[in-house]
Amino acid sequence: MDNKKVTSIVIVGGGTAGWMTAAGLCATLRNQELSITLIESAAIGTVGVGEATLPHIRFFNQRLGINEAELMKATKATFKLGIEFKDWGKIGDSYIHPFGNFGEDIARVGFHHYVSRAAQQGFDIHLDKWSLPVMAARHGKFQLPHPDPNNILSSFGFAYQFDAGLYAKFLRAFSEKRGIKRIEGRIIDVNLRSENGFISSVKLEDGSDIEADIFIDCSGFRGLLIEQALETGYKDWTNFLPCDRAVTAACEHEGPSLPYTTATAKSAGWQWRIPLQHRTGNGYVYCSDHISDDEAAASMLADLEGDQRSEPKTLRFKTGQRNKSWHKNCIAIGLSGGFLEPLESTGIFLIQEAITNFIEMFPTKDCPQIDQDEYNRIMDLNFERVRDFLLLHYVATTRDDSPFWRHIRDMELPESLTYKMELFKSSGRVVSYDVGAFKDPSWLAVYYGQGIIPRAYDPVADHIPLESLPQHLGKVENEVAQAVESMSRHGDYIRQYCNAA
Amino acid sequence: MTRQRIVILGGDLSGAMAAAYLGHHLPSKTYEIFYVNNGPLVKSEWCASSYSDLRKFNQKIKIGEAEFAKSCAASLKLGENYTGWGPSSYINSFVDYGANIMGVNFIDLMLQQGLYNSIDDLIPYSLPVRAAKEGKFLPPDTKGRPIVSDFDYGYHFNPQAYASLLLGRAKSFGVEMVQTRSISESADLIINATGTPLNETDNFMSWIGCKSYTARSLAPQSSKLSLTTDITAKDKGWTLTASDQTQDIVIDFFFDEEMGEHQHHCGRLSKPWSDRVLNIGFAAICVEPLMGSPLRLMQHDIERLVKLFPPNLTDPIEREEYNRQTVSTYDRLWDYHALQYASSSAWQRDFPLTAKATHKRDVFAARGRIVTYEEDMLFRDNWTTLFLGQGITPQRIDPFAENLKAKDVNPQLNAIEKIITQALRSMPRHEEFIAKQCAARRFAYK
Ligand SMILES: Cc1cc2nc3c(=O)[nH]c(=O)nc-3n(C[C@H](O)[C@H](O)[C@H](O)COP(=O)(O)OP(=O)(O)OC[C@H]3O[C@@H](n4cnc5c(N)ncnc54)[C@H](O)[C@@H]3O)c2cc1C
Repeated sequence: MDNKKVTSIVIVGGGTAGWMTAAGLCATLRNQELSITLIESAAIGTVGVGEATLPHIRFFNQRLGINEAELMKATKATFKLGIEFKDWGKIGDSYIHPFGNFGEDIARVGFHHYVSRAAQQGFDIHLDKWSLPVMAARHGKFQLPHPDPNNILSSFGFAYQFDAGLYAKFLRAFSEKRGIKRIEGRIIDVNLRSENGFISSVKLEDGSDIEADIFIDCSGFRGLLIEQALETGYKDWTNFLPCDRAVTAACEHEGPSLPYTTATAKSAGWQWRIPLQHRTGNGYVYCSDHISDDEAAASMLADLEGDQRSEPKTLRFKTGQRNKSWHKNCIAIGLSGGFLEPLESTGIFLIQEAITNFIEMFPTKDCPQIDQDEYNRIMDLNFERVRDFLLLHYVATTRDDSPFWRHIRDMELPESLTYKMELFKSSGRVVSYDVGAFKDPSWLAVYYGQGIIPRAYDPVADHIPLESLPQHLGKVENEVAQAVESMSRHGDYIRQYCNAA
Repeated sequence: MTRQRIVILGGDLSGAMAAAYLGHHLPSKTYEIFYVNNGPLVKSEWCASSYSDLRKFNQKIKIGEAEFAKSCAASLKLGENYTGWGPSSYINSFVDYGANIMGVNFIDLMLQQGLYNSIDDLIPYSLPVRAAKEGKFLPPDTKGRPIVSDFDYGYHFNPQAYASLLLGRAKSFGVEMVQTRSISESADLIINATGTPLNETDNFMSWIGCKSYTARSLAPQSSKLSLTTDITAKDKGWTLTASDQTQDIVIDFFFDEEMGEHQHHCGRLSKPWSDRVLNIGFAAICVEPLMGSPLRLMQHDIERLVKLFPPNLTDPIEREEYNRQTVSTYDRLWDYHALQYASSSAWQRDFPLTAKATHKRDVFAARGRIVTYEEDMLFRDNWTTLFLGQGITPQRIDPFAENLKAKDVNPQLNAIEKIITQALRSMPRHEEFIAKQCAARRFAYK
């Protein structure tokens, strides 16, 4: 058994994926006799985007034993309570998808069923007022969740908006301190073993061959190992999510510090705004069939909140997923494994899922098929479920004001999504699942936020007499309002918690 | 507004459960519910042994534990004792073994330390298994330390008495009891709990299990009241024995359809709910009572129905979702039953497995991990116990366990064992506990 033990791993790539993988592996495998080498090339560089995260990243960092305030300081991070979606359901709309619930169950029936019932009575059912993280975001407030789970001030999660380049740098220092070997150099060839097609080594420009038992492909979109060497193939999902480019630029930050990301729907895609401590990141994600690169760049720049700080940079991508995330002795993590547009900040989350699952399924040298199968099963579920959730944002809309939106309107949808939407429209039931980033509250936030109100509600909700409905809803609204009133301003909180300046 | 009419056709225990549960949950302003009485319960013996989650069902319909135990002669159940299925007998309980130590799964840790030779080696680290063996019981101390507070338990009880209790509750919730089926002609929804499917067109998918059974109830055969359901493999099938407070239930299951008094066919409908007829209980699925499966499915189907109850009963989409979740729950549970048969050395017979079941077994055999699927109702270590108990030992262990040192692990193992030993010391014997807390009138172990 011992001779089958993995003793060496090479990670190809030093972007967010590469350094997260390096840090994750060296923190968990520190007792193993295992050499980990990371190869990166400054000449090629990293994709250099990816600033908004999901709350899961906190658990990743905790597992590594990273101090939160220190990390936030080093990455010029702000807190993130959710994402504001503007102009999605229709032009002029705005809602926030928070990291948290809308109201608690009443008499064991989901709060939202009472909201649907209130809608039938003509109440204003804009969900904002029933969610602490949403109201806190709207008022620019933040403080860490209260430790007592019965306190309403505990009822939310949070993530970060940070400089991903600095995050990678932070993780690099972390990993190098723990003995990871880093090689600067460009890989020019990949050698395969004749007997089984496994990767045996990668060749660097200086002629040296680097061998390993396992290769982790974090080389970005190009998929240097998983695709260029192993020809694993790619599932193309542009028929569902047609955006294929992004143009990005940073600008000065204007106004009070905001604890949320904004995604504004535009005529050929959407634009993000991610406020960090020292600047705001922006990017227009668009479909090149419907707008030229120059027009997109001009449109992006026109919507900056402050003075432009960097030259516009255009990126191309193809939405989809590698046929197999793990193939032979190669695991593709990050952009090499697949791409889903950053509408819900899932890039880093998917990297983290990949690392966690790889550690769970850590193989022997021969990479048994059963390990690969189980790993790929979980990663496929993750990708497909995020894909459907992103797609929901596009299809839960009445917009048809441009060729792009008319294309979306006429698009054929995956059955997995139409089914979910049909069930929701009927009586507000969400199709739940265990594996996947977005659970019921997220689906509810987007459905209601984009104007999909169920025709009917859970009949059990009728146990609460109609007369007392306003009182129940009003109570939650008041609690939220009072709690938000008591919270610190986000900018002040950052200054005392993790000021980068 | 006219009320929607729901008619429950009684037959097996699921009818009474549905009457009470729907009666409690569906507002009487909008629904009128009828229960059609249909004589003694169908396959009642199959429901005499529960899983731990029956407790939650009772709580939801406001049946207190003492009331339940007294009126249904319930004894407590800490697990099921499988004899003759694998190399040695083993108890499958309602909680995972031991505790994770230094982030390593308990079973991996035992393997890595060379402390695992057979499933017996895990016994010291399971409170319910040891309590069952010593014949002791006390409910979990919810304020206690993890090992002492996190186990769970089910019941052995009299299903006929439970049905009466449920129907009494149903009446108090406004459910009307009627004697003839004719009322169902005007029903918006018919819940068929007769034990036989109503729609001829529903296709039935067969599974390979036993084909006939004989059930008996006997006066208590032992002076001790067992805390486990005994599931004993025999030449031609297997035997279930469960003791409530007043009697023993014994069911012999046979692979041969001629051997038992009654025939049965394991399998399920592919569409339990079509149009206005919803089949529940044995009308929808027939699985044998391992880990309380038949009763458990009844409970979960009814809870799922209320969760998805269509505001408009003619809308097909909630029905479709109900069927999707239900059938997938049935299939994952059957995987468990099929693996119970297929991985046993007791018989030289073929038991086909689904791809999911095969994958689950293979991942465990390779590396000791339990693959989790959605709609799987069993705990992780229900599966672990099944595999280990039947002699499947993982080939590889978690690489993170590899460098654990005995000097770090042993004190923790000893601590777990000691906590359990201490807890057991203060536990009364099962019979004493019942006598004090919840004895039925004819309690036989005074
Ligand atoms: C427009 C856009 C916006 C995004 N926004 C977000 C967001 O808000 N939130 C989020 O979580 N994610 C976001 N993402 C995703 C996120 O950016 C990526 O998941 C993340 O940056 C990981 O990239 P990577 O490490 O896989 O690839 P890269 O950053 O491209 O790194 C590739 C690495 O491989 C090395 N390399 C490549 N070829 C060779 C070679 N031949 N020899 C040696 N080294 C080589 C490079 O030097 C580099 O170090 C976004 C992505 C895009 C495109």
